[in-house]
Amino acid sequence: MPADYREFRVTAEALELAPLIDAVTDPGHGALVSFLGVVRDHGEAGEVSGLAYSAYPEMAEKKMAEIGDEMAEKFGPLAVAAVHRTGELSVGVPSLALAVGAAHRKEAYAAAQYFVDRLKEIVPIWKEDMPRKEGSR
Amino acid sequence: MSEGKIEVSVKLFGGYREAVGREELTRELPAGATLDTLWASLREEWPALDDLDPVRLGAVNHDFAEGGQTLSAGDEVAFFPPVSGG
Repeated sequence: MPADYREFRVTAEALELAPLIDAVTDPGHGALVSFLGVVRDHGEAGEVSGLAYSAYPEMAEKKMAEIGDEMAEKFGPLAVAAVHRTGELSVGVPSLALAVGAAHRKEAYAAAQYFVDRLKEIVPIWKEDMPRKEGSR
Repeated sequence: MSEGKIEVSVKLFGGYREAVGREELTRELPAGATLDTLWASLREEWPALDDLDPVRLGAVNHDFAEGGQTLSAGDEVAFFPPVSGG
């Protein structure tokens, strides 16, 4: 894949990290940072059985691509692939898969961190707690 | 479409969708209408939208937009709550 590879998607399908890591791999990239955001068992309001994600997919993909451009401006040349899942996701299920490839570790880590921070600011995706049912676990 | 009018499509998410009971609609507006003009016309028809006004985010053609932005024929407008992905 090209050293400046970009891939940004919203999907209802299960996420796979390996293809994203492959996509950002390049002979010039000495650092590949990957990240999975996973549904945890508690929200601000207490225990949950999962999270229901919804999105405005066309705008979400456009805003993710803009974040990719911001990353390259801030951290230098890099490849980035990110997929956000929608639908009702149980505890332990990944909601966000991200891979960043860059020449050096410092930039790759910083860029990955930046992507997730910005995603939470400008990408139109929403989550709602799915309350835990009585007696279920 | 009548003279001096524009038609825009509107997409709604979260509580906006619930308040209106629809995911999408189209709206005819006077030429020169802004995002706020559109919002006011929706609120008139669906007063339940009033509760959402303080946290309203708007977008035009997949970019965030301020209320004063002028709309053009064929624009895709969206209203949605603060984002919370990740």
